[in-house]
Amino acid sequence: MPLFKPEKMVRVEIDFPRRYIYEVTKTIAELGYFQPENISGIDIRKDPLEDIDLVEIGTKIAGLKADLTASLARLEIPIPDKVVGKLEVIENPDVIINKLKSIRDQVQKLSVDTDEIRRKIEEKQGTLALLEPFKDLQYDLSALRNRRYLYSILGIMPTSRIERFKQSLSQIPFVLIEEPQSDKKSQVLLLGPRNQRDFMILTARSAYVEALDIPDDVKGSLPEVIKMYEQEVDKLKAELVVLEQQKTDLRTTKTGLLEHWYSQVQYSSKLYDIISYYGHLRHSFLVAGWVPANKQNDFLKILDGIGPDVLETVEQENELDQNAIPPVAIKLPRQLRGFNKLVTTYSTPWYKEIDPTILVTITFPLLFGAMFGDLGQGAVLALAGLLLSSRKVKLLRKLANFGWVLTACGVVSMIFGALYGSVFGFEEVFHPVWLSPLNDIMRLLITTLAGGAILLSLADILSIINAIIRKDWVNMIFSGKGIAGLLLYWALIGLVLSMVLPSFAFPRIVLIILIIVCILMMMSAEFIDHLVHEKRPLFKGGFLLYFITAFFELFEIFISLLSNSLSYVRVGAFAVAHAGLSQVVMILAEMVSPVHGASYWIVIVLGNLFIIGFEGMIVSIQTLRLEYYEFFSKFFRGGGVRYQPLNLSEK
Amino acid sequence: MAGASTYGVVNVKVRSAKAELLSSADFLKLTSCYDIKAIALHLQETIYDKYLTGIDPQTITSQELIRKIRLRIPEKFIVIHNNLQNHNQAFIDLIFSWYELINLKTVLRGIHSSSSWENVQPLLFPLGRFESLPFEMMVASGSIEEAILLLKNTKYYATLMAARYRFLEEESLFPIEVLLDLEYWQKVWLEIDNLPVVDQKTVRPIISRIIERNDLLWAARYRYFFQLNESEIINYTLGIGTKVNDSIIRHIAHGKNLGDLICEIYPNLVEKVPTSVGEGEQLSLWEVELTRHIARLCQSAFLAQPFSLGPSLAYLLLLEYEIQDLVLLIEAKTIDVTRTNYQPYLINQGQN
Repeated sequence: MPLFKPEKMVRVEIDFPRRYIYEVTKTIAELGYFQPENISGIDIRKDPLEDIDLVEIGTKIAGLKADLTASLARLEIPIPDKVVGKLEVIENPDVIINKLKSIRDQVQKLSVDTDEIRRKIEEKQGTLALLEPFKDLQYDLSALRNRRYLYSILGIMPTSRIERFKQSLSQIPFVLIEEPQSDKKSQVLLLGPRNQRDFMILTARSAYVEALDIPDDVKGSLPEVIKMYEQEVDKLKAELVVLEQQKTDLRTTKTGLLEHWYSQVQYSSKLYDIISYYGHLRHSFLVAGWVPANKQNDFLKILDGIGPDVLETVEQENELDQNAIPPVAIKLPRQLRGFNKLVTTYSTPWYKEIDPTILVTITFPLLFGAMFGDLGQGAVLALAGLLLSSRKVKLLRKLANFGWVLTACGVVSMIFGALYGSVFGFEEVFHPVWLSPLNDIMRLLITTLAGGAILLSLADILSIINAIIRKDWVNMIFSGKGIAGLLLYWALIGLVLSMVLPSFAFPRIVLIILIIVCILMMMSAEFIDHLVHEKRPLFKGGFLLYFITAFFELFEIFISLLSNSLSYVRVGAFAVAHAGLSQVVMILAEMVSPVHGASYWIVIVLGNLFIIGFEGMIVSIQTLRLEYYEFFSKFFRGGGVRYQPLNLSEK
Repeated sequence: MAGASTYGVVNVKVRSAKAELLSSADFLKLTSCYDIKAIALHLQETIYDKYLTGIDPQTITSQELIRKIRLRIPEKFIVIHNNLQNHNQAFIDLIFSWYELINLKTVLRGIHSSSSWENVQPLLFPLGRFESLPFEMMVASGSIEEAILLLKNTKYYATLMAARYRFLEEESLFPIEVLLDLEYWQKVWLEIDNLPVVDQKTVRPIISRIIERNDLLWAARYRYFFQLNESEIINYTLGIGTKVNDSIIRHIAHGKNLGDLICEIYPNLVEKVPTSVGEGEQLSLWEVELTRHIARLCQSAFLAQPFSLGPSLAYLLLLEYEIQDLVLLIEAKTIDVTRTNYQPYLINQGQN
């Protein structure tokens, strides 16, 4: 039953001495089917610092990765998305660290120098922009600076601080000329009394006025100063070109090497992460993990090939510790992955239980189609599903797996559409093969109740099968989710039928006796479990408390049997609501255009789109609700671990 | 009733979220906890349980616990953001970017003290999907100048560049941090004008109180701890709140008692802080008092215009103050501070 049961797993423990650590790690990481367990808690070394060098190497590699990332970014080299060069585990990261150091220093120096020159150019250009309005003034700059009674500060400051700057200067007479450079920065010229020089400098500083750095010895008219600055900018730009060329040269010569190192570091960092999962025996390492049983022989053969001191222990399924949780691997065809996602959203199946994916593949479209029965709308859904699953729409590729869910729901909707006689909401186009939901409500509701009873019985049967797989015999027979529960449910249905259907011939007394027996079985389930498994006391908290608890649990079982069964009435109710909503669209269309003009068809199209989108969503939610709460909760335990083996061939 | 349709959903969500704020009884229990294990266990019985799933109260550190409980803030911000219209979303995002600014300052401090990313990261506020600045790369760069260059295409770049020359000259982060704060609050104040009138009416009083509190405390601290003069203090404050103007800031700069000035501005705060304690401690106590004053204003925002941005902003501030109290409690329990010593610094002590 490959679709129902997960792949069989075996647990392997590998014991090996330190000299094989890299080979073993590389082997298990590259095979692509070994899932390790973190057993680093196992540590019986004499000296806990014995293999501390491995931890130190791991830490150094993490630092190396950060350095490499920074250097690649500074050289504007994208992080490689594929392996460059031959992959080897780094055993001595100092070699690469030392080699990288000289490259990193060059890159860093280039980067700092480039930024510094850019900053200087920006500064000079800022000064030039500031002086630009005064370029025609044949005025000596030093004359402005060296007045006997006047002190001036020329600079750039945040525009947002100018008003506060003015407020802060209110204690002295001053003139502030401002010229916005951008919405963030403004050029300012502050003129004030020379005897307030210190105050002006301090205040300007606190207002973030960056005084322009025109050296005192710069003399001459403003046009002369501007020309001098323009020449300096040109010189700096020439220096920048040289630095950019050096950067390009460095990038050209070092890209391959840096990318290769990055690949190696990435690979090694993963290997050291795996090593951190290992346990430490007195003189060796211990690795534990899971391998599919059909790969066990290949796996052991490969490990044996590493060396004679590599020892393996295999625990088969029946030898596993009670607390061991084997990972769950189920191979599913692409078409079922969307349905599997619906299951795993609830929970990952436990190793020792049936995977309900295949059942959901049948029941989900069935319930959806019964509630959303329409030949035309179903066809639209099916086509939309096919479009999604074809992956032709780039934006919707991530939803491709759900395309098959939509297609299946659409096809079943079409079948129910034929049964209900409905196409795009038109009820009179053809005669219903089975019934018309609006005209035969009671029959529809009773049918859905019966369908619900079948699904609930199926859930109970699955619960019994799961108990058999777990070898949980007591629960299989006595619990509410076991044979006793199933028989009780059937007997109750029989009793109800015998009361409402005179033709139901099954003797009522037999049913009543069956119900009593089932009740007694369920009430004694815990007692029998304690008896069989030799748990004491037999009656937890005394017989009276045991009886009261069992009574209320039984009461709860009765309530849930009733509520779960009635829950399926919603399937019929939604089928009726769907037909009703379609009628509303028809009435609206008639009101808009009794002569069936263009507006009539516009309303029909929009109404159908609304039903497909809005009601389709509500019906999906209701279907999911029925699956999760009325179906899964009966037999599905979940809580499993997904099989995600190591695979270093991945990016 | 345009407001009702615009704010109906967010109003319901904010009011239900407000009902989830910790009660006085919760705070009483938390203050009675012996250590942070007990605090973690008690928090697991409150709304904070969902943020603490998977933790082991026996081994959790104060840093981890603080980070976990802070997860509630971005979550609530997203809920409110998603239920607001575009113009209000921008404002609420600006309010949330305060946490980004706190992180930015933390990262800059980390770089300045040569800390590693491993040491800086746990101190950062969890921003959830609003995480946008390259903090790890900034720390890896190892220098404030390079870190600033990494922010080239962000809204912080111009501010940082404007303060950069002072950092280079003074080798102190003070000018950078001050300018970041000033620019942020000035921006928030100006953005209020872009809100619909009904929102301006409810949001402006709250933001004004925050800016006034900042101005009062900043001015007093600059005088007391840094001995700055009047003009510097004017430049390092905003003076844009409705009740704290430049004349008050100048009084503080000239050494007038902060408590006397606060009582003149807000008469209902008279005698809230004892004058017998030292000036430094008075400052801390006034900070708490002024924050409580804002918290009370936030509470009253729920009684005023319901269909406006006011209740959303008020709730987010109340949540922030609750988390501040929890952080204070956790830190106090971690280093064994007695209840009498930390109690005066708790802001809310329960909303409900």
